[in-house]
Amino acid sequence: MAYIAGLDIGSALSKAVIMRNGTLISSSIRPTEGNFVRAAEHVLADALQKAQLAQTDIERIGACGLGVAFIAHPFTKITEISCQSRGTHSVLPTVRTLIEIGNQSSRVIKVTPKGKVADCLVSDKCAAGSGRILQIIARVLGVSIEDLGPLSAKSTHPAKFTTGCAVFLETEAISRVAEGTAKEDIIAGLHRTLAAKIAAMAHRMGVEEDCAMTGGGAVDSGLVKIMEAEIGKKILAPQEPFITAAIGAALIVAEK
Amino acid sequence: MEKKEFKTKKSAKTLQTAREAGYFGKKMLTSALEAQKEGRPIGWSMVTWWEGDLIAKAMGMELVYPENYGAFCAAVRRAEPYLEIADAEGYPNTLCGYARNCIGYTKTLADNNLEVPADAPGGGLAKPVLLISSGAACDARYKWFQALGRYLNGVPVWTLEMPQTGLKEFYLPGNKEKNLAFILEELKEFVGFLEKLLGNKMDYDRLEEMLAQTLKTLRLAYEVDVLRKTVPSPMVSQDFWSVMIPHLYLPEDPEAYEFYQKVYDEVKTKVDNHIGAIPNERYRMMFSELPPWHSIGFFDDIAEKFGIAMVIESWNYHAIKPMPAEELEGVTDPLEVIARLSYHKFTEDNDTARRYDASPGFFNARYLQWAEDYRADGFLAHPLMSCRPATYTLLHTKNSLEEKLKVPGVVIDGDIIDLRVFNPDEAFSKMEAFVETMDHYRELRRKAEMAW
Repeated sequence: MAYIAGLDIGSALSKAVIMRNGTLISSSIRPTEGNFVRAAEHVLADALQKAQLAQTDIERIGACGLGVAFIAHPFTKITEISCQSRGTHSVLPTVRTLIEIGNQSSRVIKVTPKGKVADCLVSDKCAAGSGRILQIIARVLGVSIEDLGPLSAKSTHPAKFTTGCAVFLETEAISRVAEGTAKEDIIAGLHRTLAAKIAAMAHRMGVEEDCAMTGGGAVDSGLVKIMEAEIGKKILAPQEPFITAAIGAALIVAEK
Repeated sequence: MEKKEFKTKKSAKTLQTAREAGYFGKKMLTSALEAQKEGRPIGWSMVTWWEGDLIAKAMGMELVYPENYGAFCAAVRRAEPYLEIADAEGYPNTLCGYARNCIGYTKTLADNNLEVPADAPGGGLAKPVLLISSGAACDARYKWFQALGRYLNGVPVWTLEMPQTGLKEFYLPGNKEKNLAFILEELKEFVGFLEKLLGNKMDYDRLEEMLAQTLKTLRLAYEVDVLRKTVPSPMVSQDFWSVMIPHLYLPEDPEAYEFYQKVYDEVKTKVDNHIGAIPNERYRMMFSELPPWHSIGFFDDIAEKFGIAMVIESWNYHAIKPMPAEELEGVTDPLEVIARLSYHKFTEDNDTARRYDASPGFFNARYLQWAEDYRADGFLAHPLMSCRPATYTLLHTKNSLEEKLKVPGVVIDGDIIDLRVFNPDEAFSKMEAFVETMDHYRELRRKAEMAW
């Protein structure tokens, strides 16, 4: 049975998986660092190395993501929405509502029992509605992305933000720091703002259980908790929430 | 590296007649420029759904349509400089793209001593003696032509109203008669105003002649719409957005009627021979509302890639269903015929709206009826930041179609004129995913034993 590669070349992270007969053999994640060509080449090479395979062992490549056009090998381009849907379904088959919080946008996808897209909403072109805002505020506060969840959990008085724009959110966060607001409360306030935006999309589409979250937002426990409260449902997270789209790309291209 | 799969471009169109329809746009512009040379009066008119145009034309006025000119400028990628001028004049980018294009153009006209600039797209809009505005369908239209007063010294604006009562109110006893009486009264005032402005009397014989021709052309255009219900679709939106020009702007022109006979024949031949507009029709979609004029080629791309035929579209550009015979029984005053014709445009879907408990009839219920008639698999909603009327009903319509008829919708943001807010890659990606959604809903309709 041939090996299939799935690539998801995102604006912040590039992800690659190697699959065989629907089973994950290896995966790799690396920062894109503004160079899609290099990121795509390296992330695939890394996944191949982990699987102890050579490029010639790969029969087909399915790919998605902002930097997809920069992949040097022949590949089939597939929309990220379909990839997320199919990939998440393969690891969490009961999921019917998928919330993906990526660096460029957030998406709410209604998934059919076969893993196809029943409906989908994508956030506006707005950093305040995507994972990008988490990075911006983490930098302002001098904390790592991984710390956002645990810090948010310690909040007792989440800060209120009056704007829905990332540029002004950053300014407001700086003002809160200057006023002496605790980091924990700023982060929890940010999580509420982001969760409210995405939950509004989810409610617009109608939330069906089970729900799951993927993308960078899924590793932020603070955001997941507040999102659960906003939509009133338990949210599942795949073990590897960054690679679901890459898995989906591999599965879809294998069917073609 | 993978070759880029598509780029934004003009549509190739599938009908030969659609490729020839550009003649009518050029005819309007050149006729006005010729009239200017001959010293005949020129008017700039909004689309009034025949409420004002025929009267002005019967009085000897040559009309051009700034909304159509905006679409033309966008299609030939010449709108951006006018948008930038409007921006610089202080008009917000949330204002109607047609209005901003027109304001930008009019500023260049004023800066050139009201002589049409030599580099104006399509020859430009000749200087008007009157601006005919309309309150129908859109709020920005009330103020847009007034704003042109800054640039066109002393050119009067005449605004025609169109009563648009709610669905329940429409069915109140006497409501329709009162509305028609209101329209008729304002049309009489409009005639009086024109007679004073132009210094000649209305030629009612000519008006009746134009009106008769208009009704013939509209009926033929409607019959083409009916042919489009066929599977596979013999004609797609890319064709319609070209062939609509004659019936929307020049229905009184015998050439428009002749043209529609050719359109009808071409479409009928395709129907009779089971020839689809696109060779691989797999999905039938409806489009709402105003299209991205700068990127009509996008629809060719999704047709080629996914087999999507846009089978019906843009409610407000379509000819009306022929009025019932009793509607015109005993009506001899051509002004009253015009009043009934225009009013019919905005009320013809009210029975459908009542059946589906949907409102408003024109922007919403029409698509519910069309979904059944045209066996639609999906609905493409195109919200425009710069057009509230063509946007505010979209999500409501999308939800109604999903709930009542199991026809899903996809939302693709853009603008009629401003290509800076349209992202073809993102739009294409959404359509790719939406194909799966249409498959899913097709299965739901099958399980629900629906007709398509």
